[in-house]
Amino acid sequence: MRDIAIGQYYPVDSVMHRLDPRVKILAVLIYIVTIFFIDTFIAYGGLLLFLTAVILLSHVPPLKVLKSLRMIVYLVVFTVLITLLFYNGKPDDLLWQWWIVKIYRTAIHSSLKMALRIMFLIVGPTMLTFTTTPVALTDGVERLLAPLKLIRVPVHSIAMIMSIALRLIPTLVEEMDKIKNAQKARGADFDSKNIFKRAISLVPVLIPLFVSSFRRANDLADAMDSRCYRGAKGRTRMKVLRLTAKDFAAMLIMAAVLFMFLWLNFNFFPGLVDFRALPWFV
Amino acid sequence: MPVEIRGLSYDYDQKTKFQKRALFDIGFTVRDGDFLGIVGHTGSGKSTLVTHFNALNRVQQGTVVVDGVDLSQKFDYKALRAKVGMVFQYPEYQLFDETVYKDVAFGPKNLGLDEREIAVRVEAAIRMVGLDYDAVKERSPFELSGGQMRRAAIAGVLAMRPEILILDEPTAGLDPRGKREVMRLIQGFRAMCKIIVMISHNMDEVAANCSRIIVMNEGRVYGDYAPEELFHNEELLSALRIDMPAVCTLTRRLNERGFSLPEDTLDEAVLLERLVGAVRAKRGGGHA
Ligand SMILES: Nc1ncnc2c1ncn2[C@@H]1O[C@H](COP(=O)(O)OP(=O)(O)OP(=O)(O)O)[C@@H](O)[C@H]1O
Ligand SMILES: [Mg+2]
Repeated sequence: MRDIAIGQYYPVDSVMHRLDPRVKILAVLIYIVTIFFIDTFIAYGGLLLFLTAVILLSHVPPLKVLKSLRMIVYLVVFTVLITLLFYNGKPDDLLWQWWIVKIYRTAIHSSLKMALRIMFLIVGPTMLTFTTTPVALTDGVERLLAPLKLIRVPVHSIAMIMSIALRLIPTLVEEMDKIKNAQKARGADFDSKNIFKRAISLVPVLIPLFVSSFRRANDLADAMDSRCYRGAKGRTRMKVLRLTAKDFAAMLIMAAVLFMFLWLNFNFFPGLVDFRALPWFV
Repeated sequence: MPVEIRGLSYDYDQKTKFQKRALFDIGFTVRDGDFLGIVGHTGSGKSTLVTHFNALNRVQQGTVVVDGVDLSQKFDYKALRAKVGMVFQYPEYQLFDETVYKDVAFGPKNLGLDEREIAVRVEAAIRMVGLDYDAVKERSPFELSGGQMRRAAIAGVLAMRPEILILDEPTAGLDPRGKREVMRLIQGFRAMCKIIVMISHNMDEVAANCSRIIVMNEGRVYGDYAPEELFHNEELLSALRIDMPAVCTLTRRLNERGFSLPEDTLDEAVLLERLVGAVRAKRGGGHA
């Protein structure tokens, strides 16, 4: 469990940790949308600065954040290679050619941007989970989705399902370890080089895992039932989320930052500052 | 085929900030014919220790030698796991196959035995745990009762014919009768396995079955005792915060009420016999 970096809370105290989860969730959503809108290196540079500031403010060790990128290394490398090799640019952008392989200058730009985009997409939400406990997270989601109750979306149940799922992930990982050990003791081999054999060797682990998940689900349902859980109706909260000054400040900053990015990217006021005139604007 | 452990220490999550030492400089030897009980409070490292015997935990520091094979060097995993069988806590949660037969055959199959040998071993193992072979072999293990499932799971380990059998709380979660039956079965395994190691929190079981007891405390071996030596020593027991087996408690209570039974047995039958003798003697004495 302990080497799964994404989706893991990093327990320190910081401004980022103390922000209201709703603000953080909204900020991440805005951040993701922004990533899809911008496509210039100058805006990516701005984004990098912004992320660095967030990471420094969160007191999460930067190395730990970088580690969350470990599992997408292959994805990034693959994307870059594919873009480089199969990009069809204008003839005057052609840099280098060998047999059917053609490398264009625009292809290099585009693949770099793609790689940056993927990495930004991972790091942002990771920062959210690093600084927000699962409980706060589901709480925030529930509150943010509250308007959907009007059209009869079972918001409370969705949030409850989410928090139970998050809570049970480590339990299931632990359980899987145990079952794996038990089957290893019976001579099972999970490290076969042959990928098919390896997949089949997991059957004796997955079946008991499913069985025990159902058993656990049943037990949990009984336990909730016996404590009179009846869903959202008449349920109050122990910790009520309240927006404070720093949350409003964060929202303002986020709005300003968003505006900055779009400005950098789309060069809104060429009369004021003309980013496109910069020689390295691509 | 002795198991020799020397200077064994073990850290969980080594080299991370969660690093936690679970074993400190453990050393002892288990010899053929031993029925070793390992007792100690929860978290004292019992499971961590025994999972070294079949290399589920790799040796980090110190040595573990099983039948001449040094587990801190390179060795043949399969051969080791054929030799050392391990029944985990709640083994019934590891059943997975369609039928009891197939599930029990999983281990022998992994050893690469041929079909005929597998069939012989599976049948013998299922009978050895006291299940009706013809009635259960084609049934789904998930249809069995809790006690039957546990037996089927134990059969899955026995079918590998281990020379060393390790049991981690084999009777946990069973009713008193189920506990007794499982313990009786385990006594029966002594004919097949040269060494049996049992972790248990139930001192009655340990007292009645083990030939030697190792007490663990916070990752260290606190002591290595003969059963009588441990369980009749009240100071030692209270220092170790270990319950007294019912037989000893009963002997003491009886003695407080005027009997003078010798405090040297852990066998209920012996106690009963002595008690009957004492009562008879009293009555006889009264009449004379
Ligand atoms: N997978 C693991 N990761 C990290 N720490 C562990 C792990 N398993 C056990 N530990 C720790 O190691 C120590 C020894 O645990 P172990 O399971 O060996 O104890 P035990 O004597 O078998 O206890 P019990 O009687 O409850 O089964 C405990 O402090 C436990 O928290
Ligand atoms: Mg244990």
